[in-house]
Formats: sequence, C-alpha cells, structure tokens
Amino acid sequence: MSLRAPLAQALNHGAAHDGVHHWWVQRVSAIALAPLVIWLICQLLSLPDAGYLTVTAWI
Amino acid sequence: MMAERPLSPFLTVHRWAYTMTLSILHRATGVALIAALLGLVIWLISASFGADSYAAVLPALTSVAGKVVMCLAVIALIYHFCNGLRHLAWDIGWGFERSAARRSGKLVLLATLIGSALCIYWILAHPAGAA
Repeated sequence: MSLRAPLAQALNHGAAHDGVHHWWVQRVSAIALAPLVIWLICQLLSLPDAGYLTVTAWI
Repeated sequence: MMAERPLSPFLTVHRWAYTMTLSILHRATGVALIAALLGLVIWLISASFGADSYAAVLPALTSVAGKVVMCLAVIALIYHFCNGLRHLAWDIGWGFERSAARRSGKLVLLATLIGSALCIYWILAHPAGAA
C-alpha cells in the first residue's frame, strides 16, 4: 500500500521536485570541501603572523 | 489537548540520547560557520584593499573578543568536519547500527576536542604581530 497520491506516483517527484538533485549536490560539495578544509587549516596555521605583508604574500 | 488517535513521532516522544544533541549541533555549527566564513572573507577582502583597510580590520580580529570568536569558529569547524565525515559514512551505509552510531559520536567528540585544542594552542601561542 502506498500513501502517495496517484498523480505524485505517476510524476515520480517528491514534494520539492528536485530532492535527488539537491541530495547529490550536497554530497558532492561536502566531499569536495573536506580536503579543502584541511588545506585551509594547514595554510592558516602555517602563517607566521597576521601582518599585512605576510597575509598579502600568502594570498 | 491530545487527540485520541496515533500521532507521528516527534522529538518530545523520544527518550533523550546524546546522539540527538550531536545531530542538532551539526546543524548549529553549520549555521555558525556561515557567519565565520563571512568574517574570513572580510579579513581577506580588507587585505586586498590595501594596508590601511587591513590595519582598520585587524584589531577586531586580534582583540580578546575576536580571539574568542575565532576559537569558537575553530571548534565549530572541526566538529562540523568530523561529524560531516560521519554523515558521509552513513550515506554509504556504514555505522548505522545504534551501537556504531554512538561509538562514532564519541569518536567525533574526542577528535573535536583534540583537534581544536591543538589549533587553539597554536593560534594563541603565536602572537599576531602586525608586521
């Protein structure tokens, strides 16, 4: 037995219509961000100081 | 007044478990990190605008309040990172059992504690000299 309306079943969409796409975008961006976060932390921690010359040289 | 019919389960019907707190913390730290990202971008943009604008922004970051916010942001980032990996593991079906989820939750807390302690020590040990 399904609780979904016949029309919703025929269209095969959830309430927001792009749930699967949104799910994938979230996972892909999360996987991409994971190594980038490690990179950012390492970069920021390796700055010898927060002076203007140091920071602009790093950028 | 409660209806005399079955209700769908909501937060209030469940006995509290610390994994629930970890779950809401993931969302809370995610929202907080948006604000922290704004601060990071302001810092970078001020540097790109030149020494004067950088000198105007830097005191806000190196003040005691700025350092407290920075430390909180570091904790939030590391927690969200570790718990995000936990979520990704769940997405491929790993560690869904209750005992495994509780164990990984403890692991996330431990990793956050150690990771942020190291980062905060590093930040505070290095004086942010305005060279």
